[in-house]
This record gives sequence, structure tokens and C-alpha cells, in this order.
Amino acid sequence: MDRAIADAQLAKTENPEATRVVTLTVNGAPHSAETTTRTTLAIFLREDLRLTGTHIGCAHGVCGACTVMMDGESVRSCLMFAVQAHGHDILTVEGLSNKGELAPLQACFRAHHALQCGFCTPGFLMTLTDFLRHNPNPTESEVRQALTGNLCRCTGYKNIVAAALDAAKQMRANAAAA
Amino acid sequence: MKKQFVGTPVERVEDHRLITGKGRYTGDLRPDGSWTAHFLRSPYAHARWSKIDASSARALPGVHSVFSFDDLPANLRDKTFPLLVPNPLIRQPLTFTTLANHEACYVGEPIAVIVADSREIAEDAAELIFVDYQVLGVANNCRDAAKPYAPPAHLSSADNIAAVINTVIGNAEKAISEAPHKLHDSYFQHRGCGQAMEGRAVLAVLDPLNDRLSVWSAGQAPYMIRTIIGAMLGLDDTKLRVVCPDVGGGFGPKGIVYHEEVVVAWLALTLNHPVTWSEDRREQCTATGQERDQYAEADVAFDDEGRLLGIKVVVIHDIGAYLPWGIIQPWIGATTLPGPYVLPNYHMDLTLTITNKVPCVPLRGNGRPQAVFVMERLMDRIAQYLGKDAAAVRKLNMVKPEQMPYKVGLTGRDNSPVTYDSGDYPACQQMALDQADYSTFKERQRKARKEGRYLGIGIGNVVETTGLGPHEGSTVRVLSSGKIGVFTGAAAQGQGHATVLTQVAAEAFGTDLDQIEYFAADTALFPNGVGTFASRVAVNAGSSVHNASGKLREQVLQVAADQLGIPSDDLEMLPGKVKVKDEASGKIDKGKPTEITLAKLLLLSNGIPGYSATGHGNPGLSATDYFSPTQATYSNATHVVEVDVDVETGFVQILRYIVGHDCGKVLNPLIVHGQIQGGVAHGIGNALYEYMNYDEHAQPQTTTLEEYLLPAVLDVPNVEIVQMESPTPLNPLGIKGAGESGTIPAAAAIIAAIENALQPFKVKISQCPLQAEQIVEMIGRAKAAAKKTESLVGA
Amino acid sequence: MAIAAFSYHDPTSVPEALKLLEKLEDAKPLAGGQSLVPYLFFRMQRHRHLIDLNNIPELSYCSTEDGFLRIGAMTRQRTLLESGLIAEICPILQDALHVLGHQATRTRGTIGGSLSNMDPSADLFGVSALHNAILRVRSSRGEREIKVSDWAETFMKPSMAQNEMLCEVRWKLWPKGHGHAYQKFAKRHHDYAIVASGALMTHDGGGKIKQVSLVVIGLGIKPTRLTEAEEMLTGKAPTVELFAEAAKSVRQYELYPEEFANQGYPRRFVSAEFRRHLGEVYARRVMEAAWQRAIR
Repeated sequence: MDRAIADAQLAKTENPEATRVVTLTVNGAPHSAETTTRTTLAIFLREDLRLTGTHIGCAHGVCGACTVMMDGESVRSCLMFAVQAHGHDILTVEGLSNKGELAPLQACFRAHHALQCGFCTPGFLMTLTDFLRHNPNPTESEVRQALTGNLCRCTGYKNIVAAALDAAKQMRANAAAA
Repeated sequence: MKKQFVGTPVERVEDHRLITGKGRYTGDLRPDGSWTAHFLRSPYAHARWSKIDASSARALPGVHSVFSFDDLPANLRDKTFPLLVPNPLIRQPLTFTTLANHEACYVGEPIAVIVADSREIAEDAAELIFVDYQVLGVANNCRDAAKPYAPPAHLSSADNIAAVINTVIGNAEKAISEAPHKLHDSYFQHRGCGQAMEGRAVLAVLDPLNDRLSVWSAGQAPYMIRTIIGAMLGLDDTKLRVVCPDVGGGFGPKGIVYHEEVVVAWLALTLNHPVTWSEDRREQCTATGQERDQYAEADVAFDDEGRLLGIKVVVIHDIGAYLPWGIIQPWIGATTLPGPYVLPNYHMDLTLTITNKVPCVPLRGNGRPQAVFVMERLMDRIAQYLGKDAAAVRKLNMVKPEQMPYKVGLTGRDNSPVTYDSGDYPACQQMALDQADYSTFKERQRKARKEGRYLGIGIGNVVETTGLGPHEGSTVRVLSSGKIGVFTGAAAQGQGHATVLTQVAAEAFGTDLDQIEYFAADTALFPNGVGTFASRVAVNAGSSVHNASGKLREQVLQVAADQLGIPSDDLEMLPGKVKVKDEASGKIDKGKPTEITLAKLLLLSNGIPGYSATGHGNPGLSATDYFSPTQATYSNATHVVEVDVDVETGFVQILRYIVGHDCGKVLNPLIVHGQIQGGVAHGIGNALYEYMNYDEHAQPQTTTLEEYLLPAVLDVPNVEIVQMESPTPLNPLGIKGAGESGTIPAAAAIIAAIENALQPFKVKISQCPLQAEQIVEMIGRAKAAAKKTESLVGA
Repeated sequence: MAIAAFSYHDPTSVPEALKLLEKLEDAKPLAGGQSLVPYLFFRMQRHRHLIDLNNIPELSYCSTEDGFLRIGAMTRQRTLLESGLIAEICPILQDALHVLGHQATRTRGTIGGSLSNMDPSADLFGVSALHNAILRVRSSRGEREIKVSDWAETFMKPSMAQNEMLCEVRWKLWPKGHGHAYQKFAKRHHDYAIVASGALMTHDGGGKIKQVSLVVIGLGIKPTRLTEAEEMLTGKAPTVELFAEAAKSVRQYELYPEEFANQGYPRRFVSAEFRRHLGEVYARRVMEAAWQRAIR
């Protein structure tokens, strides 16, 4: 308790809500907003940028619902501060579809009933987007290994894995046709 | 010719917004400038206090107010939450007060609320609130707490007994005393938390333009929330709107009404400012209800063939510190125990003990898993005792299809006699066993043992009450766009109601899926509903939508018939319009219209001033139906599980998981199978991973997702589902519920499989969850006992 | 759960970071954040200052020099897992990384962060111990090297001063084609280990073990090198019985004190006896697996 009082008093002299302007690219568009240094990237995306597709399931980095991509790799946005994303390139679930056309992963999730309540879904989509970019022809076992950090309480995972494999197949076909 | 949608694997209508990040969960709805509420919660399982000093907290920049019990208005201080499901057997109807009144009875009970600009500031403020706690004696374990002179969980209570429930068929004591064979066994079971991925959340906004308070909640029962907030704040339903928007999973614990809903609503009203609150994962573990501990002592009597003669079971169940859901959950368990078997004599003596832990609330399965565990373990014990096959003993005891409808001899939670309406339990079990290659298992097991691997197989059967009343309703009407609006009270947390009810409506009305617009879980859009729990929505809302859609179709065809001047039999329904059938076109005068849009029909039926109405009862094109089932409908399932147990480490790998399932007519196989696969994941959690641990002071020990373990992708195999359909005569669609039969017998089947794998060690397992360490210990003890016997029998 | 206030600093060089560490009171370096940030959320830890190391490129590198592998403290776990160089010269590091954490945590998580956090179950701590790693720490006043066996001061606290920071870990590489195995026991796949074991082995070309290194993590506050077992095995022809006998030596090692048993996730609800038992089982299993690889 003493420490808390001391901190609060310190708060009145030093400004605890020190802010910084965070400038970054999200889904290809530039954004700039002022935020406190203790605001996590997840909260910044949801509240400052109004991109509520990224969800906060546990806020301690276990469930994976907050997964986004930074500079092409998946990260837990609840374990990063917004200021750490300054100058970086973020991709969220809102950026997956192209001018209204669903990405193969998204379409496959729907086709395979890979979501029920949908809360964990953006996290899975981002993890898989990263994974399939680097592993375009995975086995089922490899897909499961990639998803250990995403929890789902509704689906029991079967359809998520099926959707991922189907999406990989479609993406390989698209790449071959291109 | 009506298109068929019911029974087809239609892709979900909900999905597009959810996969593009456009879902609208309660935490996403944040009016500009809204304030954040955060609760100060009791750090002790049982404590009282005289003074709360929040002066430092209030002085912190960014804090708007802090309230504890004494700061509440008299009408809130004087009330407790209404008991949602009263029952004369309840001796201590303990329900929540809005905030704790100088005594907290579980860790996590809300003591004060802070309203601030952000969650961070509110938590800073919470650390500055000083409470002169006096720690009190704790009722920790439900067996100890049931004893006389145990510390009372509530200071005002004389003891910790909430209720004693006796459930009886025939005379079990007599049957057991006279039986040729009898066995005794003891069981301990623990079920933990819902742990939906989305925590609870509430947003309340005073809406001056509409002169009402709007509340959004990540809950399962908007009408119950409306009832309780209305009762506590004195608001009638014209002044209060409750919406459950997109909800990220429910599973039961989100189905009761909590302090936070009432408090946040009151804050918005009092402060005249939008207030929002979101639960964090630690609060989900400590302040959201769970199922918990149950101890059972069982005696079973049987004949030489293994036929059940009687079961007596004495149960103690931990109900927690309050009874928000009455005694429904244990009641359901008591009436579920007989399962698919003929049980001529039965007595369950069930004591519900109040403890200083967060209240026991329904959790997927809701009391039935525990009952099924006892019944299925007893089946295996009988089989082991007589040296018979576990599946054969079960089949011998099963209710036969020709015995349907079968009166079990008990009264259900809806006060009607438990009567199984339809189902072929032996066929379902056989279907599952065939899929599991059960007949060749012993050979596989033998081969594996030669290689030092321990395989086991286990069976679990369930007959599940579903489709409970009292009712769900819907209104189906033509919208001004010409589309068909389906309005229901049913709230969804991922079960795909929008899709299923859209299918039902489209087929019954006779149009395409994209012509249906679905509105649900908003008390302003539909007046009355009950809630989503107990696998009841497809049956009740589905039947209601089916009936209402059919009625609307008749209405529309009749009005169209009048307008077009031709009998309705000569008309056909097409998307957005009604048209004269080709073969009847000759009946229409040349130049007169042969079709009319639904939009036009609506305008006409609404009435044009000065002209007589169309003469078909009420204006507008709308039909409402409330479906009230006469009784529950019973779905059934057989789980067969094959495991590989590493006897050195106790690690259990599930090799195959089969579910044979019958939920009557299947509305959408994609969705039903999704529910089963997801339900099995919960069951695997119950058997192997999920344990909400408390210490001897009733302090929660597992309060993060690193400690409370949920099954992840490598822990849940692909469930092989084999489906059969025994339609029910109890509703027009012939459907039964399907949300929980993936979970209910899972732990029983998995534990049975582990025990079967460890047969060489003669290990008996009578508990769940089961940890690796316990498996290794059991094997160690069994080996030591065998050595001892050897040395005694010896040389 | 929301973080208590702190002052945020983002230096772009090591000297700058060290200067901040020297002058600021109650300052904590922030590496990948995968361990530290959750503690901050729970308010189990709070610091007046956080020094973000993620903008210091000179701390990320992975190179070989004179038979030594040198890894910069801020090198991401993902980088190490995907490195073709590591696959070739130090495969056990990838064995461990493969079962450590998850795709997203490895993207940000660093080897230095893991070693500085010093969770007794940290797989990277175990792999470092297996190799007799040398850890180089720096302060604004200089630098020094600490043997991995001396790294632990007490439970989850490395023997670094407040003004020091881990900058590099290095270890001698084993000969090409050496046998290696890393296996762990957790309640679920990829959780923090309750117990894990690693083995490195070479053979002499005549059916005998030439060199062997064995470690178990999860018993003590730091990894336990099984020196007695290593002595028993060196120069011997392996048999099932020999490995089993060597594994039994696990039981003599000190377990971490009771007072720490209730801290941290995997340690709770698992008895000391079970950890010893698992230590023996896994030590035996990795010996067998490493030998099979060594003679391939």
C-alpha cells in the first residue's frame, strides 16, 4: 500500500500518463495518434484507431486472440506497447480482405464452419496468415504445431485445421495459376 | 415447390462480419468519452469490515467516482437479487446484494466500484482504497462445511446447508439389501470454469432521446438481465432496453445475472454518462461462476447377468456462497443419473453445501456430467465384477426402442415426469462401437502391450434433457423492403442460431436464405424470452419460428389471393413476391397483374386511409408464435474413446474419439457437428486439464490461463461423429437439442479408457480430473501392493 | 489487469541503454516482453522505468568464431529456430525451440530475455547449461563474463548488478554429427516444462561414448548438470542398464526450496517426488535418443 501511495504522489509531480505520438502503418494506411506509453498495441488498435477486430482474451499473452502481424510476422499485441509499434507496419484482420473480396483463409473458415462465436477467429487468421506465407505446403501436424498458441473454446479445432489446409491448397493453386 | 434448407449444411449467415473483424462484441461498443468501471473485489474468502476509505482514490486525476455499499441509494441497499428459480427445498435462498454489505463471502466478491477515464487509472485508484478487513472463518471444503459446528460461510447463517434433495424411484435400500450382488464405490469430481474467450462485459448508456436506459451485456439471457436490473433499479421494461450483441462464447456461466450488470446500469443512470466494464481473465477465474466439487458414495445392486436392481447414492455438492440459479443444476444431475438404462430402484440423497467460494452456476452439461460419470463408472464396475464386456452390460440394461415413450419414474426440473420421447439407445451405442472398431480392440491392446504400450478403451452413454420450456417466441413479418424479418428473444454465443433459424424460416415460409433478416436478443425488438442454456433454443425458438413462418405464409398468400383475384392454391411464393402459377395463368384476365411484390402487399395490408381493410384480421403481415414444449425432449449419445497412456510419466494421448449421436432431426449438420466437436473439447478439459484450485483458505490458486489449463489444438483429436435421427413427436420439426452431449459423457469415457489401459496394474479410477502425477502414483501403489502380495504368498 | 504507470525509454545503442540503467532508479530492461509484460499486467512486478532494448540492432546477431557460437541477447527465438546455420551446427537449440512457446511468442521472445528472466523451467537456460555457456554482461563501467553455472544468484534472479545487462551468450560447439536430444514433460504440449532433459553425445568410432553432456531442468532454481551420470557414461559402451543406472543419479540433486514451490505456473500442484521421478525418466530417454543419433 505504501508503495502505491508513493506512486500516486509521484504521479502528481511527474506525469504518469506521459504520452507519445505513435505513427505507424496499419493495413496499408498511415495512422498517427497520441497515446499513453503504457497503452498496449491491442488497446491502441481497438480504442484509438477503432479497429475492434483484434480482440483481447486474456491480456497476458496466452490465448492468442490479440495476434496481429508486425512487419510480416505474427505477434501478441497485448504484450506490446503501442509506442513499440511506432514506425512499423501492422496487419490486422481488417486488412486481410482485398477490396471486399475475402482472402482464401477467410473464405475457407466460413466454408468449413471453423468459427462459432468468432472471438478467437481474428487471432487464428493472423497466425495462419503468417504461417502459410512461410509454409505454403504444410502437413496437418505442422498446421497444428503452428496453432499451439491460439486457444478456442467453441470449435474443438477440427474445422480450423481443415480450413487452414484447404486454404493452403487454394493459395498454392492461385500461385501456380498466376 | 418449397426449397429445402432444414437438414442441409448451410454456411453460416453470421460469419462474414466475424471473419472480417466487424463483429460487435460488447467491449467493441464504446461511445466517445465513455467512462470505465472497475471493481474492487474481496481478497479474502470470508471477511467483514466497518470502514472503506476511498478518499485517496477519489483524489486521483482521472477518477470520477468511487462507490461502495454505503454510498448506494436506500432502494438498492434494501434489496437482494430476485431468486430466479425458487424451490421450496431451498433452506437458504442466498442471492447477491448489489455490492457487498460489510461482509464478503468469496474471493472476488465486488466490494466497491471505481469509475475513471481508463482501466489503468481505475486500477491505480483501486490500490488506494483502504478497507479494514477482519478475516473470518472459512467454509472451504464442501464435506467439512456440511458438518455441524463448521464455520458458517455467511455470518447470518446457522449452518451451511442450502438444500437437501431426495430423488427416489421405488425402494433402493430394499433392493440393495436383497440383491444377489452389490458393490460400493466412491467418486470425486470437479468441474471448473466456462472460460469463454470473451470475458463478461457490460455497457450502459442513458438514452435521453428515447427516455430509457440501454444496457449491452455479453450474456446469455437478455430478458433475465432486464428482469433483474428492472427489479433492482425500479425500471419497468419501457424504460430499459437490454441487448446481448455478438457474444464470444457462453457455456453457462454467462447465463446468470451478476452484480456488474446492475451496478454498471445504475452508474450510467446516476452519473448520466455512458459507463463500460470488461472482465479480465483473472476475474473470469475468481468472480464468474463455475461448477465445482462433488463427492458421491454409491451402492449398486445387480443380478448374475449384470442387470441393475437398484442404486443408492449419497452426494455432497459444493454450491458456493450464493444460489443465483437456485438448485437447478444438482436437480438435473439427480434426474439424469439413470441415463439410457432401466433402473427400477433409485435413491439419490443430495446435500448442497454453501462454501466461501464463487457461486456454482451451470456449466456446459450442468450437473449431468457428474451423474453420468457415476452411472458409467458403476456400469464398468459391474462388468469387471462379473467378467463381462463393458458394452454388453450396458446394452443389457438399456431401455429398448419399443419401450418409447419411456417413463423413468422421476420428476424433471420443469415439474413434468421425466419421459424419454424417442431414441434407439442400443443402435446408437452399436453404431459408435462399430465406428471405433471395438470388436478388434482387445487384439490391438494385446499387441501394443507386447511393445510396451498401454492402450485402453472406454465407453460413456448419455440421455440428455434438452429443449426445456417454458417457452421461446418469435415474430416473423414482412419488412418494408419486402424481405422477411425474423425477430426472436433467443441469444447466441456462437451456436449459429441466426443461421439455423434463417433456414427454418426460409423453408417454412418458402423463400431463399438471403431474403431473411434476423434480429435477436434485444428486448426492444422482441418482448419476451427466456435464455440460452440447457440446449433449448433450436427446439423452442426453432419450433416457434417454424410455426410463425408457416402462419405468415398463409396470411401472405391470402392477401395476395385477394389482390390478384385468384384462389391462394393457384399462387406460388417466390423470393420477394407472390406469383400466379403458370398452369393457372389462364384464370387471370389479360392485362391484369399476375404477380405482386411482398413490399406492395405489406403497404396494402397496412391499410390505405379511406379504403376498407383487406379483411383478414389484423393489419400488417406478421405472425407471432410462442412455443411452449409440453416437456423436455431427450437426445442421446455414446462416446467411445481410445487412449495411449505413458505409464512412466502418466501422460495420456487420446488416439481416437468417436461419438454416436442422435438429436432427432438435424437442422444443420455443420452446426450440430461443430457443437459436438466443441463439446468434446470441454469434456477433455474436464477429464485431463481443467482444475480450479483453491487452498485451505478458499483462495483461488489458478487464476491465469497458464495455471487453469484449457485444451489446445494438440490436445483435442478430430472427433469421428456418426449420426442417426430419431425424430421427436414433441415439436413440429422433430428436433432435439445438441449443445451439450459432446461434453456430458466425455470425462466418464476418457477415465474409463485410462483405467482400461492400466488394467495390468489393477488400478481403479474414481475421479476426474485426473493428473499425470496421480496416474503414476496409482501405478506405483498398485505395483507395491502386488510385490507385497507376492512376497507374502511367496517362495 | 492493467499496468501501473512507468516512464518509457527507447535507447538506440548499447552505451545509451547502459547509461540509462546506471542513472535511473528502479529501471528494468524490456526485451521481448513475453515474460515481463504479463508480470506487469498482474502488478506482480512494477518498475518506475522501462528501458526498451528493441531498437538496438547491435544486440541481435548469431555468428561463429573459433568454434564458438555467439548469440546477441536480443536475438529472437524465431530467428534461431529458422536459422539454417543453427540447424547445422547446434541442432539441440532448435530441438528445444521447437517445443518452447508458440509462433507469436518466438517472434518477439529473445534468448537474452529468457536467460535474464531465469525461470527455472526455461528451456534456453537448460541448453545453455548443457554447453557450459559463457554469459557476457555489460554496464556503463565495463563488462565481465559469467559462467552459466554461476549465473543464478537465487530463484529467478541472475547474479547481475542493477546497472548490468546481459549482452551475449556464447558456447563451444560440438563436433559435426554429434548426437542430441531434448525432451520435455508439460501438462499440455508446449507449456512451460515441469521437467525437461537434454543430452549431447559423441561416440569414439568403436561403440563407446566419447563425450557426453546431460542436463535436467525443473529440479532446482537453475538447470542441473548430471555430472555424476556424465562420468559414469564417458568411455563406456552404452546399454539399456547403463543408461537407467546413470539416470538414477538424478535423484541425488537438490530441488529448489519449498518457499519457491508455490511460485510460477508449472511448479504448483506437482510434487517434488514427481519431478524427481520425471527427471529420471527423461534423462534416460534423452540419453537413449542422443546415442541413437550419435551413431547414425
